[in-house]
Amino acid sequence: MMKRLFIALAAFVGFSLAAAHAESSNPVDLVSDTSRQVLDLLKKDDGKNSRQVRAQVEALVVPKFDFKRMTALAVGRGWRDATPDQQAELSSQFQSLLTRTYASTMWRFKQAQIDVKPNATLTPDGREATVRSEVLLPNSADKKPVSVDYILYRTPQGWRVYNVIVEGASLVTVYRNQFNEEIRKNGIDGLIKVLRTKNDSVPPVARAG
Amino acid sequence: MKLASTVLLAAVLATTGCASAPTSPQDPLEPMNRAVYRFNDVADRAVMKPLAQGYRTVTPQPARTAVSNFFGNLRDVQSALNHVLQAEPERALNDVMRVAINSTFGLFGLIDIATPAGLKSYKAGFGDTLARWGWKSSSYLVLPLLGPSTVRDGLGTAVNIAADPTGEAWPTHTSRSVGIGVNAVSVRERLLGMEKTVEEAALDPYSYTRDAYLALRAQQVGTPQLNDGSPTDDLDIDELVPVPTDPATQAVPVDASAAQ
Repeated sequence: MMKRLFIALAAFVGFSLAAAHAESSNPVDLVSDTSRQVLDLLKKDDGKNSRQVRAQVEALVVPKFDFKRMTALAVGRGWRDATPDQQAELSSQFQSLLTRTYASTMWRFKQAQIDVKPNATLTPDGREATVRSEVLLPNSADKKPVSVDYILYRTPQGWRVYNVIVEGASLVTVYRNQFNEEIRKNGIDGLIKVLRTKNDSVPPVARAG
Repeated sequence: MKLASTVLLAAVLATTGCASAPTSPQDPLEPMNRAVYRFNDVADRAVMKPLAQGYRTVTPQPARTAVSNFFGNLRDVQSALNHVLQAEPERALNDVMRVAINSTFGLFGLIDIATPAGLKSYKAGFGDTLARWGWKSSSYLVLPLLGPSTVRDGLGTAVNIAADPTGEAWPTHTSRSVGIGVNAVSVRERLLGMEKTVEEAALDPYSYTRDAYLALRAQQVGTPQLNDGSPTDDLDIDELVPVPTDPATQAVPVDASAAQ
């Protein structure tokens, strides 16, 4: 059980799947192209250029996510009560947190095999898509692939990912209870402060595991 | 072992009444769970994690895979039994075939040749059986040493241990205890690095672990929680963050003219 959880947390690696050309006309291409690009980049890591490769991966992946939408989803109803400035600051801090977690996790799982399913599920209005994929980690004892789903929505600039679901667990809304607890105690500014402290406590590029 | 775990579980369940000030509806036992979580954290840092790291240092990967396969094979026996209890004959047969193949051609379970042969690994426990017959959602429960669970799955774990069909396979009582210890270290070894991920990602490691665990478990027993912004979520994300619309972009097909 804990292993599944571990894999789920670790599957922030799945973030890597989600980028691609902003112009990608279909969400499956976006996910599969980016996953290939990220894995290719990771293969260039020879132990000396880790920091550089990591920066390249982040540069590839980050623009393909909508961090504002992700943050709103993580905060939930409290998002409405935040001022635009607070919203911007929350998004920026949450982005740092997710990016850093992703970066250090990815390094441990760069051997993963990723299988992006060719059929995306679109909502009736065609504005949202779910792209499914399976990630197989090397040495996983029961050789059971982990399901990683990406929720994308259509923007004028192309498809953007705003949620990642691993084995049924949303990696974004897993923050909702933590965020709401903090907001209840110390308000939106309290949450911003906690996120900032958290981000400042770790070097921007965490060392690989 | 059997008695100890049963008493432990009874004690844990008995404290239900004392819990107060829960912040999540799925975690009415939060104060107690947090205490057990802290205890587990200390025990892990002091004992299990160093053991797992030592184990990783002195063994090559193929040996560790063999150890993990061996215990996985024992769990398949348990899984077969639970699939019978769940009235899932196909899966029960699947598990029986797995055990038959892995115990013989797979050298007493050291090699898992059933999985590549197309026999899936389900690894059902008694908690899954309880869920199958209607106990779908259950309060979060942190078990001493064993970690995240639910009241239902904690009960399941107690039954798994007390009524373990593979218990008799061990020649002596001592060897079984050693086996349980080796399995624990093997499981922990595969989880090395997780505590770092949680530490980096979570504002509150306790509730992060809880919420991720409960979502995963809900998915496994067939009642996914849909806090994912999908139309079935009770939160409408489009209401919180309006989708930007830009008629110009929608009208112009990309690169049609630029390519010229």
